[in-house]
Parts: sequence; C-alpha cells; structure tokens
Amino acid sequence: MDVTSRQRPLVLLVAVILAQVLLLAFQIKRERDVSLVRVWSAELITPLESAGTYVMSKIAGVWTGYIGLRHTEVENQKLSAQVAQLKLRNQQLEGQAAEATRLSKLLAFRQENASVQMVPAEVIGASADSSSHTIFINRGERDGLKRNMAVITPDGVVGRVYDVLAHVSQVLLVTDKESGVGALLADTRAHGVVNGSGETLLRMDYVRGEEKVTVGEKILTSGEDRIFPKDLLVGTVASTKPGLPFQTVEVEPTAHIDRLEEVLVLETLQSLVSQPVAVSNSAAAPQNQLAGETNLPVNSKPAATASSKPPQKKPVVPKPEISKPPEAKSPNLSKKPDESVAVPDVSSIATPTSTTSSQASLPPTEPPANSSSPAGTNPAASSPAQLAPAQSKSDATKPGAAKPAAPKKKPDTTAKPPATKPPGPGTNPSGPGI
Amino acid sequence: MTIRIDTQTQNIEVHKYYAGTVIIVCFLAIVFQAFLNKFSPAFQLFELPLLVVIYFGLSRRNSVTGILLGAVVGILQDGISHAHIGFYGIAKAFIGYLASSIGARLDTEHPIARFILTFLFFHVHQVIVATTDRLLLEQPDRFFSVHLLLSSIINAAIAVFLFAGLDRLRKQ
Repeated sequence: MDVTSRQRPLVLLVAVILAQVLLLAFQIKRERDVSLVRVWSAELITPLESAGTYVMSKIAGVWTGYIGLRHTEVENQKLSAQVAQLKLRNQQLEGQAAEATRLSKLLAFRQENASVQMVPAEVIGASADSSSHTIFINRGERDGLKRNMAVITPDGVVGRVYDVLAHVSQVLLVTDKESGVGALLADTRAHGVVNGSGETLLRMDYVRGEEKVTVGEKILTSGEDRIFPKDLLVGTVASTKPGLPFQTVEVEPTAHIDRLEEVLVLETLQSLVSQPVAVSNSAAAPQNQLAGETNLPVNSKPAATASSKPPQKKPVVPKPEISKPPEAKSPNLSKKPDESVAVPDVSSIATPTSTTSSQASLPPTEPPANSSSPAGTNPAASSPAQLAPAQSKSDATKPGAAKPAAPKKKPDTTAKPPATKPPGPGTNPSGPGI
Repeated sequence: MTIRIDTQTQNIEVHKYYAGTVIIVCFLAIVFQAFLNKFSPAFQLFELPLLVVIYFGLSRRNSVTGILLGAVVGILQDGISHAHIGFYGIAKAFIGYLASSIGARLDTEHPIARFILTFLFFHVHQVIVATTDRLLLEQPDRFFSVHLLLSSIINAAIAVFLFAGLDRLRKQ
C-alpha cells in the first residue's frame, strides 16, 4: 500500500467527524438562541475584521494626522474665535439668568405684598466717596417717590430715600453714619436704634445692659421712626459688648448692601406680610395699621422734611386721609409706576423722624447729643417728616427750620418728650407729629 | 468467505458478508436497543449499536467502511433519541475507524481478545462522548463512572456470544 492509501481512511474519518460536528453545530443553540455554527463563524471572522479595521484606522490616521493637517491651523483659529464668542455669550446669559432670578424673587415678594404700595427701582449708581453710603436709583419725583420713603429688598432693610429728583433719587443706606432705624430685638422685643457706622456692620444703641442679647438674634424694625414699617428685617446680631447702662450690639445687615441691583421703595408704612421673621401683620387698613404699629396716637400731620430740623418746629399737618392701597405693580424697573393706580394721600403716609415718639420707647436716659436720631436721621425730633412736596416746602420756609441738609450733615436731635413742648400752631395737641 | 491478504508484515483476514447483512444487523441492533429500553431502565446498560460497529470494524478490517458504518449507526441512534443529530455519530465513527485499524493488525477472533477489546472500546467511546459533550454542549459529562464500568463489562460479555453468532453470517 502507498502512503495515499494509508491516509485515505484517516482523511475520511476526519471528514465524517467534521461533517457530524457541523451537523451538531446547526442544532446546538448558545446564549440568546444563537446556533453554534453562527457563534463559530462570528468568532472566526470577527478577529480578522477587527484586525483589518485596526490597520485601516492606522492608515487613515497617517493621512489625517499628517497629510490632512494642512487646514488644521486655520480651522483651529476659527474654532478658538468661536469658543471665545461662545464664552462671552455664556457670560451674558449667566448674567441675564442671575438677573432673572433676582427679578423673579422681587416679583414674588411684590406679589405676596400686593396690597402694599411699593415701587421697584434699579440701582444706577453710588456715592463718589467712601465716607458716605448712598446709592442712586432710577425712580424720582415723577414716579411718586418722596423723601424718607423706606427702601428695602426681600432680604431686608436697605435705607431711606434722602433726595428726590425728577427721575432719580438718592438713597441713604443703613450703613451710613447718619442713618438710623428704629428697631427691636426679635426675641426679647427690647427697643433700640440701629445706626450706621460707616462700615459693613451696623450698631444698635440704647439697648439696656441687662438685656439678654444672643448672637444671631434677629433685629426687626419697630416702626417708631415712621419711615420703615414694623417688623422688617434689619439684620442679625453679630456681636455684643456688655456695658452700662447700655450694651453695644453689632448688627450684620441681612440685605446685601454691597451688591444691590434692584430695590423696592415703600410708599406706605403698611406692614408687609412676607417678611422672613416678622411677626405676622394683618393686612389691615392703612389707618388701622398706622395707629396700631406704634401704639401712639395717629398723627394727622404730614411728614416733615428729614434732616436738620429743630425738634420744636412742627409743621401743621392735616388729618390723614386713608386711601385704598393700589394694586400691586409689576417689577418693571424701566417704567414708571402705573399712574392709573391711586397714589395714597401723602397724609396717609406715616411721618418719620418722630424722635419724641421713638424716644418714648427708649430708656429714660437721654441719648447723647449729636447722635443720629432713631428716626433715621434727622431732626425734627418731634416733627414728622413730610413726604409731600408742598409740606416740605412749608417746612423749609418755617423760621428756624433747617433746610434739607446734605448727606453728611448730621441732624440736630433733641430728645425731649413731646409732652414738654408746647404745641405749635396747627399741631396736634395730642402729641408730637407722628 | 475469508480472503487472506499477504503483506510483508502479516497475514490479514478480511471477512465478507452477504449482501444487506451489515445493514440489516445494524438496523436490528438499533431497534432492539430501543425496544429493550422500553421495558426496564436496566437494559440501558446494553449498547447493541456500539457492539455491532465494533464487530464489523474488527471483521471487515476496512477503515473506510468502519468509519461510514459507525457514522451511520450513530446518526440513526441520535435520530431516535433526544440527543442532537451527530452526537453519537462522531463517537461511533471514530470507534469504527479504530476497530478496523486494530482489526487489521491483531487477531481478534479469540473470545478473550474480543472481551478485552470491547471493554476498551466502550471506555474510548465514553471519552469521545464526554469530550463532545463538554466542548460542544458545555455539559459536565464524566469520562469515567461506575455505570460505565458495569456497562462495559456486561457488554464485553455479551460481545463474546454476539460476535460468535454474527460469525455465522459470514460468507463461507
């Protein structure tokens, strides 16, 4: 027998076995019902395909990595410029988004206090020097603003309107040295006066030494200055220094004084319903609100001009007419408030600078001279600040009446109880002008 | 009829059978195997198709016919069982080739030789089946077991008498 003949049976055996293995492969199913023959085929062919793909990718990489790089630099520059534009656009959008967030917060605050007449305003500038803390807002006399109107944000008290021009107004911030806010401690309800110190922290004066003041305690407006409605959040206690008869309390304002962009100007002293810590104030009629906030007789006198009035000078104030608060306005900072909405009568706005009234709540010890009045500035301790232009003019024309002072000029505050002063002509015999 | 082939090394006898004998015997072996399994599980120890493949492989001493015979018998056996077609065909085809190769070299007429060869072929058959089971079906089949030992002894004993009977079917 030759070799071929001897190998023939072996070849035949292999062929027969392979044929039967193939037959089995068609019948046997692997995972996911895939026949064994498909599994073998895939396992046999896919490595070759992977190798071929790898080789082709390398060849293509040589082409794109070297030969095709002619236009890469140009494309790179174009893409870099595009990226720069997109970054700029992104920053603009982020700014717009942040502004939208602030405005939505402002709108929500206004909607919650729809019954309280307020004017939204945008901060357009600040004081030129570092010694005075004032800002300019884009609302003025033509928007219904008056002097000594309270300026707030949803976070807390910001300041008061100091000067009113036709289209803009200057706002004295609570951090200014000449600023003062009648306030009280939220827990103990001890009254005091929050004065600005020219720095970021405020100072609460006339707090008795024996009063227990805790760090972090909230400080609210007392409403006694007749500028800020009651129970507005002023700040929180940052630190205390014991002393007699009064302790020194440092206050950190809750409003972000250093980054104001939009503010609200309150045209009434009506309490707000959506204050963070405020005691719930009912949305009573303005007259009831005015009467009830300070426990003092309603002063029918209009508000006098703010700064530098001698306390004994009291303007004649007619009985306030309580008008229905207008509807809430949308926070459109670029437009004037809705003129169709009835603006409350000036006399309905509580008068500020009633140092006598605020002093009534102060400890018996007479405050030091030249200190800023609790009414948040100025003068006319017993005379209410006048918000109406006519009355402010009358105040200015009164003899001895101090003209509206410059921001830096401190008011002359005399802390004498109203009872000691003889009522002036036309004044309310019941007490000081509040 | 016996044909003697003189080779340089040895004399090999190739036995021939009447026409259809191989086919009929293989067919009857499969039928009897299926018939016996119906009565009792004890009859599963018998492996008549494998005995037939061994006999004709040893007798014919032709590798080609041994391979084909084993493949056909195995496929037929798969056809009437639950196993995949070709499962036993692979093993029996190999056994047919092995039996014909050994039969061409050794004297397989003695009963003791037949007993021993049958015993060994049964184990080789089981190795091939277990290997196929593990590789293709991924089943953990055993290469050796007591059942296999008992089966191989019984079938080896049966082979002695069965082969003697099938010798009568040879062409004289």
